[in-house]
Amino acid sequence: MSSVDLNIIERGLKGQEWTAEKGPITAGDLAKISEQRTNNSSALNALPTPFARFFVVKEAFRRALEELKNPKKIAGDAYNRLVSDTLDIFELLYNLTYHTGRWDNSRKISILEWDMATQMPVLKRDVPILGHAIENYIKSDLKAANGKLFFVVFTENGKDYLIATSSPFTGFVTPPDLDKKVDPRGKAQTTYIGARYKNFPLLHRKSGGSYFNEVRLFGDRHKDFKNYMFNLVNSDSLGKELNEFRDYIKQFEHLDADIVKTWEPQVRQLKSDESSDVVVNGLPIGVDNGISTVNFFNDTLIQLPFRLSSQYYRAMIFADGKDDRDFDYLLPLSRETLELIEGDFTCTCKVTTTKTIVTLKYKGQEYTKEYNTDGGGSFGRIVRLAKENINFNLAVFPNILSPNPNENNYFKIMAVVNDTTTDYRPFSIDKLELDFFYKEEGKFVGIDTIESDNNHAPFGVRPAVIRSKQDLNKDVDASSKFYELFNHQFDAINLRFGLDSGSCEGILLPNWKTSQRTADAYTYAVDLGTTNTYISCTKNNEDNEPEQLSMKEPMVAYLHDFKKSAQYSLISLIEKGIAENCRKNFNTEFVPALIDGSIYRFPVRTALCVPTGDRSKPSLFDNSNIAFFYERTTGLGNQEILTDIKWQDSSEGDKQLRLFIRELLLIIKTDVLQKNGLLSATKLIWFRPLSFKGTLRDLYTKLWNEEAKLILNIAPSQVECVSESEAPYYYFRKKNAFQSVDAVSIVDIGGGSSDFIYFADSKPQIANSVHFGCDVLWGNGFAEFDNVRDNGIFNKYFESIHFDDPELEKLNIQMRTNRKVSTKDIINFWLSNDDKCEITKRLREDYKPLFLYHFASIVYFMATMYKAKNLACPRSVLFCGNGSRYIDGLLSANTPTITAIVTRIFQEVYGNDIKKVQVVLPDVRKESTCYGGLYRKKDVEVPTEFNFQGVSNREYENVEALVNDFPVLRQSLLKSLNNFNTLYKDLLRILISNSELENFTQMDDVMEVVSSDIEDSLNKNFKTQVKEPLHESEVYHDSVFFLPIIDNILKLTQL
Amino acid sequence: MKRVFVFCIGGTGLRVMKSVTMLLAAGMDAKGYTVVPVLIDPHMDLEEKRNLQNLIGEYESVHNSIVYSGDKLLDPLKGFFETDIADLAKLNGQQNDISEPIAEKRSFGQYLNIGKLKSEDVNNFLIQTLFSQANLDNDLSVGFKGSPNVGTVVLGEMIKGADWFQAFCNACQKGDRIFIISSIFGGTGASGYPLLEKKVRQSTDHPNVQQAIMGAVSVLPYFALEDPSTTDSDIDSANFLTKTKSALAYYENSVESDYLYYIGEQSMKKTYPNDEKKQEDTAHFIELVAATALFDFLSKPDDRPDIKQAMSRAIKEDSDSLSLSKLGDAYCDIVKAVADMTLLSRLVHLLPEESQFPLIKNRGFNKEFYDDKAFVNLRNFLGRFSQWYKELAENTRAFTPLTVASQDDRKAKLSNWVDDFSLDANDESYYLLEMIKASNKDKNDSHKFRRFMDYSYKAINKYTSKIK
Repeated sequence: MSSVDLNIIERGLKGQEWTAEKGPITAGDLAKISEQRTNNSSALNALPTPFARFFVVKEAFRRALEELKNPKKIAGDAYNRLVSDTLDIFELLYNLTYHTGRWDNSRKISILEWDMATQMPVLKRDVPILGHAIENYIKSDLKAANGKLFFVVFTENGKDYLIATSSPFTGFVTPPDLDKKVDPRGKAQTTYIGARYKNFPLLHRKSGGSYFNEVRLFGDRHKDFKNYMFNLVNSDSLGKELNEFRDYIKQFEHLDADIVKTWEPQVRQLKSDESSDVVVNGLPIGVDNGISTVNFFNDTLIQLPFRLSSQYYRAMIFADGKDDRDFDYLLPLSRETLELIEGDFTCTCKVTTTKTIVTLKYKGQEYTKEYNTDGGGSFGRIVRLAKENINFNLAVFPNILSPNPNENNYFKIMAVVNDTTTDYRPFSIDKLELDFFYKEEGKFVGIDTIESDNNHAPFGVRPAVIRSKQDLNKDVDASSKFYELFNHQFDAINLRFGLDSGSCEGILLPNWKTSQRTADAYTYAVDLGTTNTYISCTKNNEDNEPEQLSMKEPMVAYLHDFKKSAQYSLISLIEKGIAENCRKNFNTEFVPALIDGSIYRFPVRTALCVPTGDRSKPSLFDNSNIAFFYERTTGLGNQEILTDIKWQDSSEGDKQLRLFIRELLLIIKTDVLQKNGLLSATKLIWFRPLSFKGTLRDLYTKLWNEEAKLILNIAPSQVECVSESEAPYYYFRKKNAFQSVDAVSIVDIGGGSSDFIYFADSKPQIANSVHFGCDVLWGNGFAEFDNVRDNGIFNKYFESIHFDDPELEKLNIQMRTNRKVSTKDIINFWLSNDDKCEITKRLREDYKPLFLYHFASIVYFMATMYKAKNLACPRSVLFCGNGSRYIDGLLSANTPTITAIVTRIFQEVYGNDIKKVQVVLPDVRKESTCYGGLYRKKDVEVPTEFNFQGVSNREYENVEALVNDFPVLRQSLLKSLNNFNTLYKDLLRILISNSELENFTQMDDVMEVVSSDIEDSLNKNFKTQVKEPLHESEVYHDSVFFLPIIDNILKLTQL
Repeated sequence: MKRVFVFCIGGTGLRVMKSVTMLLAAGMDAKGYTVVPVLIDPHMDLEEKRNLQNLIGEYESVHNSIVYSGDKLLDPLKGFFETDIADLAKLNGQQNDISEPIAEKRSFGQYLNIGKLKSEDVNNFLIQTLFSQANLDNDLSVGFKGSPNVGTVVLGEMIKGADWFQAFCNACQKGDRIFIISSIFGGTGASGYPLLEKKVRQSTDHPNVQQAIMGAVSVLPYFALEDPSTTDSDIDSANFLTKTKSALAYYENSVESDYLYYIGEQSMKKTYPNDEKKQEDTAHFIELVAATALFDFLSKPDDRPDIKQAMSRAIKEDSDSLSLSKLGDAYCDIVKAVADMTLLSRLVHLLPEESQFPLIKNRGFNKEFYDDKAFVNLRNFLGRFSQWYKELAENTRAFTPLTVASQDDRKAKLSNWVDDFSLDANDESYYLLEMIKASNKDKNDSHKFRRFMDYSYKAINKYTSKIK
């Protein structure tokens, strides 16, 4: 009879004495040991080393392998859980891209590094007992870790959960507190041993179920993961310490049909947060990079409250037609999908009464996800923006690409959100985020946001700027946010809304229209006037009649679709499709959808819309844009209008001017591309008044050249500057407007200035410019304060002028009550809407003597100037410039009357030999500058500029000379002015005799006004406008002749 | 004198040492080694530990009563209490009780001072990997609750700077041996054993320690505890085997001892109450066999073996009640020792009452002698021994090789004192006669207690020596 071993195992000892005959108990012997219970993982720390956990998990894999080989050898529940949890870590990391693609920002996985060399001193200093223990054991027990461990940390809402630590035996071990509590009844929900995991969330596997929750051994896992793991351990680089782990997985080679040797890994190396490769004892931990495991869909499907523009965006295809729907979905494709997908794909959806099924067809495979209104389970959630009380739209400018990628260097995207929720804070625009992607070799690549101070990035997205925040109490209808891409187009936008009901996101894929490559070249002439700005263009320098810039196609891509209708203009259809509460933001903070030539047209008021308050950092659209809406509609409550742009020479003014020019050039660029023009061949002409001298002229030259280079990418040689004064001549000569070209004078009356140029035999002789335009009629003389409202016209009408159109009336009241708005701007507003308030009719009735005085002073000045230069009396005088419209609009529509006035003035200066001077008042008035610029040959002679002070032909080299000579000059001027006043009386009589001035009883009053205090006025204004403000060395580019005239004009308004 | 330092770690270590002490008292041959026990257990209030210390103290008293004549140290007597059990502190001339090496009232986490780590310190994750929160919250005053990973840290630190370990190193001389007693399935022993091994082998400053022949007995599971769910204990004996398997796998590559003795049971035959604060477990046969490992170890040659020896042992028959025939002949020495001691106990019980015993006069074994401290100590010790044997005999498995007759039955037949074995001594008179004979042969008349122990052993051995 054999002996009975006093051991936990019967090994068949022969005798009963102590003997070494069987040697140590081996792993093989252990397999024979039957255990009572192995479901309590707290028991699994029975090793006399701090690193017991590592050995226990290793033992778990050995046991699992043993059970695989012999199912009668049960590994035990606790060990199976350890194996399962360890494999969960591998699987979670393998599907990391999948998971992070589904998790919101509150969740993340971090891979932290523990380096023995740096951490042992910390341990020995802060926890020396543990430090010494670890030091004693790690070199023997964890030698294969080479002094380095990786911690896998899951974070949710800022709380960190350690979920694994790298192990040289098994790749990873989970922390003991993540082990499960044993429910003896086996019914309770899984809970974790450690209290720190009490709120650890369920982490759903890609293949169903959840990590660290149920036991799932290797054979029960997804085939992709199994093949990855098999591939991972099937390597010679593994440390021998991994044998049990490796053998367990390799055992499936013959047991599991899922494992195929032809499986090709599509993994990328997992990196730690410090960018180290996560390689554990020869195991290069991978992250699936393959398309087959991509999380294609978001958990949310955003339903827009309108149909998506099929012209500009690639909408989801509705499988069952559903063309009568009034909504569309953003593509619910995940960012991960965007970044992994390659080549073509289609996205379709099917809407049933209970759910929407979205299908992605890609590379012959179909992937689906179902959405319903509640979400939950496997369903995604449909987010109806309308139900969320969100009005939303997006505008992209420009909406067209150049065939030359280098020219696609600027895109502005404006997002507007209005929240109709009442009695609650509105949706914050901060919670709307846009991310952009471009396509490179068929794949979408994210475009990073570049810090505002980074000037070296070749392309990128500039930091988003919030321009307005919805505040109905302050008349701000909606919130707006701008994104700008520079030097690259984008091919996808990911939109994310942080709604109260949860965050949601979706993808927009733009359908870019690309300009065709032709040889067509366009020349644009831009007359940036004090009041209005004009843009005209010609194609290939053809001699066709030029036109003001207008478009047939939109230059802005909105999200919403619209049906074209012959009954409505395109622009009104587009704007009508924008939610009403968002419309004003788009209309006042962005470029119009198109320059249709009707509602939006050139000339446009030279005005910028800017936010109230700080304007220290002007930026196009972010806080400044051309006020196309100005004088037509009210803006938002947080806006104001800047109208003094042209003559600003402060640094702030420079920036505003630059932005104004930039927006003009962007519109021009879009126009060229829409016409399939060759952008690089574009030429640009800009105009300067003669009074532009010195630094102001240099500034303009610099701005035009720089912005033309930036926006149009054209060289300075393609940018030409032409004098405002001479340009119209070339247009009207082309139009054959003059009876004779022997002696022709062009008078360009603008808002701020009037320019004179004298042509003899078609050659410019002299030119002159004075800061005396038509705006002086609407202004307040030389009042030093901007908010002065002394102008008699304003004071006469401001209470009586009203508009039936509520929007205009609102604007009228706003302008009137806003002391920052000048009388000049208010009267110009009235004039712009004359058809609705009949201001011109009232002006004609009440102020003809004023207009005559203004007009006569210009002509008299001109005549005396030419006379002083011994030039022949002009045979023709052509009045152009927008300011000249008051001549025939307010003074007299009868050309013979005007001709009589002009002739009378020339007779006064040149003598009665002058019979008749032809007066030309062309229909095309301001446009003539632009048009003339287009016809002007580059090699034409340039006129001599003559700085005329009203008397004699003396020119003063500087202010000092002028001041010194002023006593003499004054006497001559007073004489000339008295002479002019006398002449003015005759001119009034011409009006009376021609029945242009009926029932005129104020002759004496008028003459008293214009004749009194002239000398005082001259002295005072010379001091305040010339002597005091200007340096002695400066050149005075104006004429003292007008100094008392301007005072008189103000007095005449007040009569 | 050669010494064997016997490190007794944890509860099992204490209980095995109790058996060692009993066997030494019974005359088991320690091959001339002085046994120096070092008790290592973090329990602050463990009665079992105090009992063992008292037992050893009583042993030493009896032993010293035999080998000391006044201040004169005599040669040890063969037989009962032959082996000297020395106190480590006294070896070093120290007075403090270094047999209380560790005592902690804090939780493990407090002991480590983990609160000092900043919350963002990555080492917090390392701690979370190594220890559960329950580990960190463990009150160290009651041991390591079956968590050797905790024990190894605490014991490691305690050994690192402990007086007793330094005392051991100082005391260890060339030729001395080291023996470690621990269990593999608990906390203290399981962690302390490899730690101590490692410490010994790393004692490069003390080559006598580092090079010493080292043996260890690792006690495998041999008992069960009541279901912890009924006592709210953290220890679940259902996991003993699971833990043991893990530990053995780890030991396979980490054992440093020259001789490692395994002892355990294939099935748990005894269930104790589950209360880690008390651990009043009764003596068990496995502990007795584990104790024999020390004696086997001491019988090994002085040269360290080339290959580490893993020692196992068996019994002849799988029985819940073990007589000598069921144990097998290899257990004769134990059975003889236990038989000897129980017979001594009978003699010590009867002789004070035996007025006709000639040695009262010849040797002065009179009332005064029997009231003397030495004899009283012996009597007390034998009382503990009897209790110990009783526990062994009543446990499962039951170690019952003897048929111990009632001491008050003066006419009891004693030839069947050892089961399955017939002794020639039919009754107690045979032993008394042999004592007289031994006395007659002895010319020395000094040191009555030494004489008594000598004669009694010779008398008993006369009849039990055939148990082999």
